Amino acid sequence: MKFDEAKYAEGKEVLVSVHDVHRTFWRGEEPVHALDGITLNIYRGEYICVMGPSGSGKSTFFNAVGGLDTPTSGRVFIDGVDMAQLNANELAFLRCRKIGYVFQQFNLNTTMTALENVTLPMVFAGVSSDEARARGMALLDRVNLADRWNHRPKEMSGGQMQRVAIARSLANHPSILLCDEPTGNLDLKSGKEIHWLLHDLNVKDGVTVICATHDPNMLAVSSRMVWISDGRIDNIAETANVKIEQNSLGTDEEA
Amino acid sequence: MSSPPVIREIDVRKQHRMSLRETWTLCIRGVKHRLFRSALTLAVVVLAVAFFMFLLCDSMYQRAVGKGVDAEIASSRAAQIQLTRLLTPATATSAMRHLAAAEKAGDEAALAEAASVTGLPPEEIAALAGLAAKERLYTDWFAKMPVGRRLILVKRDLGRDALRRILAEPDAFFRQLAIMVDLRVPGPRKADGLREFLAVFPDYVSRMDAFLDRWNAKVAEAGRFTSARLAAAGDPPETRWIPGAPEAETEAWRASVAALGFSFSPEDLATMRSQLRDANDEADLADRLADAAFRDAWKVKFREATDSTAEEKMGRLGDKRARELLADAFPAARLDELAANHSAKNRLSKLERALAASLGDDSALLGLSGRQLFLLAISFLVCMVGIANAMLMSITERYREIATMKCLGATDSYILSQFMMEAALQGFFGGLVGVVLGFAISTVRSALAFGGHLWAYFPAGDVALCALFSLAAGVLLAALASIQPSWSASRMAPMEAMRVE
Ligand SMILES: Nc1ncnc2c1ncn2[C@@H]1O[C@H](COP(=O)(O)OP(=O)(O)O)[C@@H](O)[C@H]1O
Ligand SMILES: [Mg+2]
Repeated sequence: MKFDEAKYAEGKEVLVSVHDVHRTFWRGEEPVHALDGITLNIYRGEYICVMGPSGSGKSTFFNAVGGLDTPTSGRVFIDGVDMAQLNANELAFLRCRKIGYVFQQFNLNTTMTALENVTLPMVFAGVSSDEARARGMALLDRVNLADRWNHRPKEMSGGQMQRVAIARSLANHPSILLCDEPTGNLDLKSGKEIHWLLHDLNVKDGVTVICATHDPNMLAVSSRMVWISDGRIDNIAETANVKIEQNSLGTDEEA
Repeated sequence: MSSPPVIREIDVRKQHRMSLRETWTLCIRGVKHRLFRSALTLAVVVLAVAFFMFLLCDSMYQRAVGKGVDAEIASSRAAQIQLTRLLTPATATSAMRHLAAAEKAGDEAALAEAASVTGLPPEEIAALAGLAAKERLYTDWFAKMPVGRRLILVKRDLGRDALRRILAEPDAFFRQLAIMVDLRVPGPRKADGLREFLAVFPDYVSRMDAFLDRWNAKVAEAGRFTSARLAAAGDPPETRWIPGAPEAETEAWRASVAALGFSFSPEDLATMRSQLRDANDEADLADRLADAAFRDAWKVKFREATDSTAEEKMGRLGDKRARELLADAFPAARLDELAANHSAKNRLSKLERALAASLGDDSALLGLSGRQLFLLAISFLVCMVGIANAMLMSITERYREIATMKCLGATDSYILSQFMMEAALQGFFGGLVGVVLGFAISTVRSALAFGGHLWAYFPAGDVALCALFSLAAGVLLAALASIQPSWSASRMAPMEAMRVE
């Protein structure tokens, strides 16, 4: 069944708009087109999964949307703001308050406790330490780790670390949560916990989630799926219209 | 697909600017975990600072002990110096040196004495002393100059003769001087200063001659008093008469000499009496030890196969057999004193020789010689490179952390200041350890070399200054060395930094 953008967009507000984005790396003389003309609208409140095999350009897409990298050509708008127009300081502001990032390797600060990690973005935003503490504890409670607030990353399991990372990404009430293979380093059970947590955040808190993954379990919670291969969009589908079967999903256009 | 949306009003504002306090709080939160992980950087800082501290402390110790020993030696020769001054006519050179030294040390008493002896007004004495200091400066310069250059500039002349030669042909001299670009004329205004001095030189020489005439007239008068006393006492040399004569008699002599204007207080006389007594006894003891009959008696008493030297005998004066042999001339307590005196003098003269170089140039920076300064500069450079390299490594190691912080909203300037603060902290703690290490090494070394003299003249204030300087050097070096790597790390796009493993 063909994806009907016009119908899908009805009553929805565009939050992220990616317009003909190219990103070319140079491996010596030879160009690598990691993104090769991607155009995509992401709507507020959506949970979108970006699928694709390893090396297809998911992380590059993630970087372009999150303002972590500058595309070779094309434009990215977030909330109507052209990312290319922002200077370093404004980008820092954007990353601090509009976007939350969740990485495959968690990227927690190993010398800080869970609470300190969660409140770090608040410190960058200039939130007073009392308020940051209160909000940090609330966020840790949200991911069921309130009792672990004083633990350091090396005293926690992978699933717990990823939950701390998610709490951290929510620190300044972002409207977008960008996740690059959030369950890639986790066992099945912890992965499930993470994707239900993301689902919850999407449904209850209205956070827009953009998730690069090739974990089929994550698909069940998303509202839309995008398949990428070789830096191009292969296919788009509403989850409601896709029958999810383990191991049968991928880029082989059977959806 | 839809076209890009219309650009809305940009509600993106400036990111919060972190205050130094906020940065500091964040920085020290992790630092106790990181400080010792970056052991390499720390070790380099420790070594660098220890080396500075060692060099600085070492030269401070040498100077302090050198000055102390010099003063000790001067006071142990006070009697001899005073007698010579009172009883032998001054020469042009000795008068010049005396006035120049008084000028340099700000010795008001010596200048006042010169005025009261010669009867010249104090202003004239002060002016002469200033000029004498200049004469000393330039004549010393000729004396220390490499011989080849001196031969070209002033032929074989030295001292005043050299100045007279220049005055005879000033153009030739200054032409040659201009050719020797690296030869620097000492004193203020360099060559111009020398020219100014030469202009007043003939006048100065005639004033100095007048000074000398007046001074030596008084010396001759003092000599008359002294020889009258000596004749009355049966004409022993003054070194025998002064300690031997009744105090009232020597006091009368002192008073008549002091009345001429010389500074010669009753305390000076007391010191003179006791020093001369010691010197006489030492001389008598030395004569005794060198006497052939005594040496034979010693040989028998000590069952020596070969004759021991006088020096070896001095070392054994505490022995009961030695005391028995000398009992007729010296009581045991006096022998102990003489032996102690002798070994103290030996130690002093040994130290004096060892420290001869350290007192060379007062004007050098922090009392360091040119060679030491060069070493210091080189080590500064090497440490800079070492610390920069260590910093680069420790920052590259943390690219992922930096990228993550940027994703969480850290600004470039925050990252730069956090990393520089961390480096400065490392510099501080490494510096503390280095200061203690350098201090310990140089103190142990100097204590071994100088013994009690180090504690007697311990330059505590200077050492504290050295410690502060070394510590500041450590902090500064570390912070400077981290500027470049932190700067480039802070400017990197998070995505690039994230990829570096
Ligand atoms: N910084 C880079 N330099 C060179 N090539 C890169 C760089 N980043 C990504 N690539 C290449 O771009 C392609 C897409 O990579 P990536 O976006 O990481 O894929 P995915 O996340 O889907 O596995 C790959 O072929 C990868 O080798
Ligand atoms: Mg990837």
